[in-house]
Amino acid sequence: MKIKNICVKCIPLLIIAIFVTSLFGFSGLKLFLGYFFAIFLPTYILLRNIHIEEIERIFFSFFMGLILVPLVIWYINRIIPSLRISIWVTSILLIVIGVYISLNKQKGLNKKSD
Amino acid sequence: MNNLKLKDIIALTILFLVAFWLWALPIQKNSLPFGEHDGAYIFSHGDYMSYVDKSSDVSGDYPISIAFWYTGYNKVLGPMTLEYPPPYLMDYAFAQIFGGERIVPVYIFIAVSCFIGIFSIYLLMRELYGFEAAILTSTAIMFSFRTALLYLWGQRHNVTAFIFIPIAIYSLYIYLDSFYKNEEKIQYLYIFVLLLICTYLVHFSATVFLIPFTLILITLMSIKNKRLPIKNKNIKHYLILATLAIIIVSQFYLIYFGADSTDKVDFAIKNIGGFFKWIEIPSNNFGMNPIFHDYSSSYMSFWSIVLLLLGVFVLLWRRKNKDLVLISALSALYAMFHLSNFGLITEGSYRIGRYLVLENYFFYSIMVIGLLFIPDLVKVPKQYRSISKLLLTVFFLIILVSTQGSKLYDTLNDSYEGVLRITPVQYELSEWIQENIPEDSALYIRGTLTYPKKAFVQILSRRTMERGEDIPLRREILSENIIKDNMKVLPQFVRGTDWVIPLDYVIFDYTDILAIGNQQMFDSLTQMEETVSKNASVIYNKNNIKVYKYN
Repeated sequence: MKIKNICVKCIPLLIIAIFVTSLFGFSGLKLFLGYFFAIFLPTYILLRNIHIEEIERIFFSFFMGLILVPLVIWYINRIIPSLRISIWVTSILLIVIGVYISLNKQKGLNKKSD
Repeated sequence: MNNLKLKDIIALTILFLVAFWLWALPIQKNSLPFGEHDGAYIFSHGDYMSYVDKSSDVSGDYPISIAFWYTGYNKVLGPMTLEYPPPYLMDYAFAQIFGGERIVPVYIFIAVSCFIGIFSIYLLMRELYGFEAAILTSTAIMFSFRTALLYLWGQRHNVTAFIFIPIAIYSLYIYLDSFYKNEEKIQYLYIFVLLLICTYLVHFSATVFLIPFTLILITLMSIKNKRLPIKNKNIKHYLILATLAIIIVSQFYLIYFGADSTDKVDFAIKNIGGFFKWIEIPSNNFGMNPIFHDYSSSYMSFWSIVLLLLGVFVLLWRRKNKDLVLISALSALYAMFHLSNFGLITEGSYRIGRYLVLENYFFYSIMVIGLLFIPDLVKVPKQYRSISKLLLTVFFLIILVSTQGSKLYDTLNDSYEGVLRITPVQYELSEWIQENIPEDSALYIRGTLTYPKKAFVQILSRRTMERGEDIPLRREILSENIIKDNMKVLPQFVRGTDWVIPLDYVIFDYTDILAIGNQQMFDSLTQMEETVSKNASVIYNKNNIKVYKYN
């Protein structure tokens, strides 16, 4: 059975978030959300531009994000003096790059189909 | 979505929840840090980065608490050089920043980054051998006793580096398989190289394993398919990947290669008899507790050898492309376990012992192949094969849970209890020290029960400490002749070419001794305090802990 509904992807995340919160309170939830939005999501959006399967995209985003996003943050932090600001600047930058590539690809596809 | 099925989502969610609950047990009951000396050491880096709101430079930008810990380690960059590239250390800082607390979020991150290898092996086994094999192997790895021991002891960066190996090999295998089927998917080669770089950025030992693993797999697949996986039209890709790797590797090269290795290379064939053994356990047990390499502690019991041998037989007999992955894994492990036989590493090096964690990954994968081959072996009629595989899967899961699972639960649930872990009053002391003791002074710490606990008081205080047992004397911590002109160091610790800090304070911590009620230790510490007090004044006296400052 193939799953097309995006909600099915969100339900496990929601369950995990609730579980983490139940064990470690608000601190656990903030950690989960921080890693999700700053580390996992930018990698996932970038990887959406590569032709791989969805399960692979999720796994690669997790594993590569764990180390390669901090590497990019490390480079950005050489320019921006605050680590905290560097984290969010990097995440936004990676998301923007990911979306930009995606839009360009879409444009290219539209042109081809015209 | 292409191949993400409902059963995968359910299985992965359950696996994550169970693993999270289990591996977070040590921090659920007690929210203070645990681990041995290495655990404290690595913690201090991330803690420092979030404290100063800056990720560390490769050298010169280093927590003061550990500035005198491995002083002579990096001969090129000096005593304030990172021992590992920053990304993994930064994850600790991110955990503190996101979680908004100093200890618990970091330990949640540590737990997840140690057990998340279950996802890595899931992806590999699911692609190669299907859903049942993936579930069984992931569950077995979730209960990996060796991984748990390193997690508890503190070699977490090493464990985290290993989690990248199955997923990296998965990417390489998909690339090679597509190459030989003339449906080349070059994107997987890029992903493989990026994951290889990840291992380098976490702990070099994983890269050292992954390189021969890769070479063996490429060689075996080339032999099987009678050509090398290289194409002229891919040269631009090879150049891009090589450039990327060189840029990142060169950035942190001196962290690893400027260090003074404890392993001596003396190329020669030694101990020929050792080649006929899977692994020869040295007399020093790789510097670890013998339970770490004990077979039955890690693989249920010796009966599992039958499954392992059956799995090896299946792999060698079939030799499909997918089987070559695990054959290569075994070959690479064998090579690692025999490095000392070639004189490439000191015999009994702990670095070799740690590869036993990877043995867990691949032995369990092979056992599962052996297990799921049983219906074919005993020629179960076709219509009953699926049900018999399902029954075997359930049966194996029950055994795993009742043996390895329950053992892991006990280990994690009972770890670092009572005085074996830093206590709230010791944590309070560390906060007081941070606020009241100058950074350019060091402290003796006496009375705290274990060496790792002293290390945690040290790094949480963000001050240098002397953690021995001798009677404190007014002196300095000194490393002679290690400072060179080009090194980035804090000038207040440099005297000529020496690296030095005065020991101006002494901590007498009676709390652990009182908790265990050891009169002899109490008397000895009191006597030590009397000697010191003749020449020093009390500046902290709370909760049975005193801090003296030399007059």
